[in-house]
Amino acid sequence: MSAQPSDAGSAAPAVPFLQRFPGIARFLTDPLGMLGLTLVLVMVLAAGFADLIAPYAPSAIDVKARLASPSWDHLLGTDQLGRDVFSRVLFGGQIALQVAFICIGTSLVIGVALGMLAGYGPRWLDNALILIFDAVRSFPTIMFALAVVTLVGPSLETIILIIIVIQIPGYARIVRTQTQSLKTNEFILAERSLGAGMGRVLTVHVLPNVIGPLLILGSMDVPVVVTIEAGLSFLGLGVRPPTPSWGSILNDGYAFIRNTPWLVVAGGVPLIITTLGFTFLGETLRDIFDPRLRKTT
Amino acid sequence: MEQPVLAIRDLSIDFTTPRGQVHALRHVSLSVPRNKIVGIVGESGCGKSTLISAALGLLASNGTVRTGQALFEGRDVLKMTEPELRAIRGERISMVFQDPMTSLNPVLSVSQLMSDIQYRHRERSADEKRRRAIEMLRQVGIPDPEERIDHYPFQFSGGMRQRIAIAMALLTNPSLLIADEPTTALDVTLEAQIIHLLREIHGSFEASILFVSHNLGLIAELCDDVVVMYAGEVVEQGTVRDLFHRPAHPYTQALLECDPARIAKATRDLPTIPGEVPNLVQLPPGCVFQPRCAKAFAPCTKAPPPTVPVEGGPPTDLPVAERHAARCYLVGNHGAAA
Repeated sequence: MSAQPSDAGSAAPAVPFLQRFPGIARFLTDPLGMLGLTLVLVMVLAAGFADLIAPYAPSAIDVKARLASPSWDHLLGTDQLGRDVFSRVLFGGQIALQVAFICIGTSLVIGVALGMLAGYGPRWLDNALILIFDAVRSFPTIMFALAVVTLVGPSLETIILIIIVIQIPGYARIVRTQTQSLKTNEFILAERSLGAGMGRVLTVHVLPNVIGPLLILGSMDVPVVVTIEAGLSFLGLGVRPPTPSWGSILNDGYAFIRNTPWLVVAGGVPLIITTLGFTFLGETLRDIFDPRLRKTT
Repeated sequence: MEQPVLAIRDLSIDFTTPRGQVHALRHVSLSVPRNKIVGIVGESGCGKSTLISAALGLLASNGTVRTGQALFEGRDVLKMTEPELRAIRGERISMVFQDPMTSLNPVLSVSQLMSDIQYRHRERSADEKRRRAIEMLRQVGIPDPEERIDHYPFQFSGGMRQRIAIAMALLTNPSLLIADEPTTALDVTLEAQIIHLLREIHGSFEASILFVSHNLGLIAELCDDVVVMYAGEVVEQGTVRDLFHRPAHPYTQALLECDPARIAKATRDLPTIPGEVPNLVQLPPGCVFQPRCAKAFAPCTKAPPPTVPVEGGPPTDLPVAERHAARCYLVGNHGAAA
């Protein structure tokens, strides 16, 4: 790490790369973490390179091959309009992950900022913010989404906005509680006595203490967000056809579940994989990035 | 006379609580002269912590200053705005806390902690900050600081952490170091080491030290002047020699008698001061120590005694640290009258 010459005369032995970053080494030896990472990578790569992988355009209709069984031509068969389900699943993943990352990233940033303000700031601000958080959290997700969609009209942007608003209070409340318990900690008092102001206390000292639990929560929320998006699309409140979404694939397949069950499977399995992958990944990341759980090296 | 680094003048602080106004400090005066170590002794709850948080402008939000000033280098800390206070904290006054296990942020490495505390020095590069931090760690006796600086607080023992806390407090070369029972959480051998370190620092950094403790032995060993506090008042102050050899206030005398290190005869019954600290919401009308005082007599219950020099002379409200003074009717001219 440091470039200082060793004054003891004993040149530092070349430490193997992995030993210098014990976190990576631990990650590589954790089977659940590796499984999670693999699943996540598969999903992310499949979605990211959907344009290259997909054999057909997701909305290309082939009327002659409606509801075809899985074959080498159509790996997951086709739906009632003759669209290639495999291609639609890939592009649906693109939408799902896009929504997940945008929503969680944005709501994490806003939630952390509001939560730290509520936890550290004056009492009236705390009360006001908590009131707003509780009000937002008390809306049933679907009803809230219905109301907003009715007002604004269904679109990808609407979904993203709804999910962000729904997610913020959860993060903010956790950050607020953590900040409040940290605030009374002696090291915060020590930092203040050494001249740190509110901004410095929050960004340098509170943030690293709360970010660990939040990262795992954020990671584990990816499947939640994906499910909400799929759920809204399933109800026809989300992504507009013909843009593919796992939810609309499920919805399309639902009508033909007796004859062509693979449609439902094709929409459902990616959801399961995403859930498992991000949950495993999140837990392993938590173990590594939270120094309080870290074993002495 | 040279201006003291910290001069507290007639400071009274109340806390608003559901039980009423707690008169945590009443007419406290003391001064920390330049290059001196001043000790504050007293039982738990006697106002030691309130005093130092007031000196740093870190008073809890339900506390109000009733009277007095806390002059740091001639400027009243209690009247400063938050930016002015922050300019002083850590730069001119630093503080070391009681429990080194909780006074360092657990998720940052020592290097991050010590570099961050130098944030005011924008001109210093990251390497420069690190170099200074390593140098400071070496001075407080952390072995192998180049290696250890990248470790996290939990990888250090209690004594080492307290050394790190002291190193952080000294990084900005303060003129006053406040140590709030810095050895209470440590075992006895480490205690001696930390005291030794504070002495060394006092010598090499030219910092005055305000040392808060309830351990009389440490105070006797380390300090130049001593302030004895009881229930939010200064009951006696003077040089270490005066106070330990000729304690004037009955409370100081009782404290000294209760120090296990001073008991000559082996006994299972350690001496104690009977009774308990008075309720700070409803104070007794006379002397605060009177309900527990073995030597109390008629005037003690009527009005609070003034602070008088032990050697005699007129009563003084602003005792100078070099002067041995006590707040008791038995002392000075009063003593002669009684």
